[in-house]
Amino acid sequence: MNADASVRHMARAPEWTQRIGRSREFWLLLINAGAIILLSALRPDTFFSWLNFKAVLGLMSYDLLLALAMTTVLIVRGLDLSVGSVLALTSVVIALLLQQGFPVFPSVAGGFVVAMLCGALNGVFVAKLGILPFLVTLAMLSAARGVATVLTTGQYISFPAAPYWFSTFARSEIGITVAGGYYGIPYLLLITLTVTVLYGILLSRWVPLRQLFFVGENPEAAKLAGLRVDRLIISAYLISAAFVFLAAVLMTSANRIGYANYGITAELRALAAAVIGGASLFGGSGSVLGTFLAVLLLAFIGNGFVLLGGDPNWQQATFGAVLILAVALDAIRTRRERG
Amino acid sequence: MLLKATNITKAFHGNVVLHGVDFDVRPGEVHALIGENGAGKSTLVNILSGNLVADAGEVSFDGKRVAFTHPLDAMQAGISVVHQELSLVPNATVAENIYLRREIRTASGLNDWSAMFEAASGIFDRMGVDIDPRALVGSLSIGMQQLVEVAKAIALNARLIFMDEPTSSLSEKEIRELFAVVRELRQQGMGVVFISHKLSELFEISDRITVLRDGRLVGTRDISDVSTDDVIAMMVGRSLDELYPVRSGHRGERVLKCTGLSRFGAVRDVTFEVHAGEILGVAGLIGSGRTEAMRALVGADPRLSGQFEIDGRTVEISSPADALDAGIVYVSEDRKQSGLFLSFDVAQNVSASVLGAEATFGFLGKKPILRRALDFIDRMDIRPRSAASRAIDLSGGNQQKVLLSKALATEPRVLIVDEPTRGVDIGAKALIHRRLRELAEAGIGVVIVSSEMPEVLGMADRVIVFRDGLVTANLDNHDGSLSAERVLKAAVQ
Repeated sequence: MNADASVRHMARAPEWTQRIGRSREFWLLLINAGAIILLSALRPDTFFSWLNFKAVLGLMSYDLLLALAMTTVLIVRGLDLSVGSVLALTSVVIALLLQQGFPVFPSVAGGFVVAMLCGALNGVFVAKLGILPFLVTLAMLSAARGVATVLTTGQYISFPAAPYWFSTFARSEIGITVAGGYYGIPYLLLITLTVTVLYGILLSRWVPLRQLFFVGENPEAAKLAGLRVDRLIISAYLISAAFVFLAAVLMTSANRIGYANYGITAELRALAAAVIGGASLFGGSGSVLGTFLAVLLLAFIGNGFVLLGGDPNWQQATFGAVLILAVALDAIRTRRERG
Repeated sequence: MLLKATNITKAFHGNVVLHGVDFDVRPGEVHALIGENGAGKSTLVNILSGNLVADAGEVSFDGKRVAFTHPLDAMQAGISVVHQELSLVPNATVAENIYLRREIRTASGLNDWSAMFEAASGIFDRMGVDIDPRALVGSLSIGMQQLVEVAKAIALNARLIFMDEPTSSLSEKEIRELFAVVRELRQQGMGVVFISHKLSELFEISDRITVLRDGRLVGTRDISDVSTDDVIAMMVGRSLDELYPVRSGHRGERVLKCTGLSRFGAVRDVTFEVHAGEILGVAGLIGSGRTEAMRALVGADPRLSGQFEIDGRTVEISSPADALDAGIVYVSEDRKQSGLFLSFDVAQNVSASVLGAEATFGFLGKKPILRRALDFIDRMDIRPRSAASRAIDLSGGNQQKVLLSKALATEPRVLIVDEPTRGVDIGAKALIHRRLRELAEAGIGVVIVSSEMPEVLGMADRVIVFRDGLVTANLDNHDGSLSAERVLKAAVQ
């Protein structure tokens, strides 16, 4: 068989319909569409408006960035419980530096250094000392939040003297006119979505990031296959920290304050979204599209509770139900395949 | 007849894997069950032990018609299976494992330890082995653990024991012990069904042999009526000329020189050379330091000392990645734990070490990866012939071929293969041997680490033997005249 012919043969993928049926992203897309249709039918006036969409997507942005952070470490069979508190610490550091009168760039760079330091500590403890990621990042969760609280004594840190553009850019909008209607897209959303798309492409095609999947699927085999496993694991935690840093900058700008209580329990939402999106705690899987769709679904569920006047406390219970449902369906499917 | 199964038929998703197979076991007999991977052995054993339900066919045990729907049914009836993967709890004592969930209790309902220890001792006496029922299972060797599994079956009053590849991870000495136990059980009128790929063992231990091929019964024979060649012919449907390809006898330039390799507590001052055109066999009992030395060589584990030269150039190796850069690739003995990426497809597995090779600006091309996979599927005859099948779904032989392909994709100067054909069917074994010989002839230094004596003698042009972390012999075998005795002697004394 000549190679070209066989490439074409393979590309036809005989059971592509099956494969779509098995694809996590496909089902998440369907469920999201279902949620949109349902909410549009129930609240046609309020739900299906740009204003509402903008609110949903804007609120979703931070969760999305943290969920991407989580997805990355899950791929290497890791875990990062510290995303929420490192977010707070980074935000506090940036705000404090701005308050002290430092220009925007050094302040933000200071935040970056702190976030990366946290990521590097997580990565080194996990990769070089072989401590369970759960424990390492649990310690970081506590430590980062603690430091943030000490630095601020629990107060909001505002920075009235900071340049106007920094205090407003996350909230300001780019206006586009489509079919006579005006739509304002906040920078917050624009930046988040751009980063997501780029990361999605990189994670599926760029070799160093592809290697993360091999490390997570079988670390020992990856090592013998010549992958620099320790280095890749540390990189995953650094990437995670970079997403947290970005979320911190956006949140600090949008809210115009740094605050030690930002992102409390955010790590659990991020973990839930990543897992619903197809990442596994056993490593080796996870996708940006899946995580994005999962975050979107959780955002729609939250929005639905608000619009339908439901008790917001039920929202959290619903997240839990969605999570266990996604995981259970996965387990059933795996059983049947192995069966 | 102890067990009589007639016309057993089973299909998965419309794919028939057993076509009306007949199988029986007499009391006091060891019955070998053999066939290439995918021939239907496991399915048959699973049906007879209650793990699967047959679509058609009848089973009678001890003259009574039985229809097991659960392994517990079969166990209660007196049929037990000793699996390839042991199912013992390492942190519990031997006696606890034997009586797990069937603990002997005192009147007050507490575990009666002394009774359990005593009963376990009684079973070991019956088996003629010396194992302390109070020892932790985790502290025993794999061979001993296997015997504990057998004891567990006996404690269940089993009268028929299926042993699935029981010797695949045992040393020669442990195999002897296991065989002594099997003979003892036969003496006591039990039936033993022995599943293995190692023909020499089957000929040694069994009374009758049943061969399956493609889900059909090829035949059941008395072992005294058949030769190894007959059985191979029955298994593959044609006679295999050569399980071990002919040597060329050509010895080229030195490719690898390893000097003074030491590893804490495991390997001491190991020195050897590999030449182009030759295959170096590495023999020794399990735990003698063979695997430990090879892993230390490629930097997979830390070492105390060692210098390496490739093609006369000194190379620094502190990780498998360095080894790969230098042109040395190590293929692990355990394809599931440390070899394959099981839930990834064949294409990804084959390209795992060379993801960046054809990337532009670091971006993967899907086509080169697919092409490389199809190339190796052809070259190594990997079935099914699809780059998209997941490694976990392949048979052992095909998984091994994928594992080798992954190593060969790096285009190494030196290929070190640990147990190249463990748990692999005869067809795949012959093919792997042919390919290894071809690689040697193409000028690649090939090192084969193996516990199978026939493989070492049949493949290697030169054999080094490990004992207690030392190389105790460096034996020439370029004409295939080396005797097993000489190798064993170096390995044990």
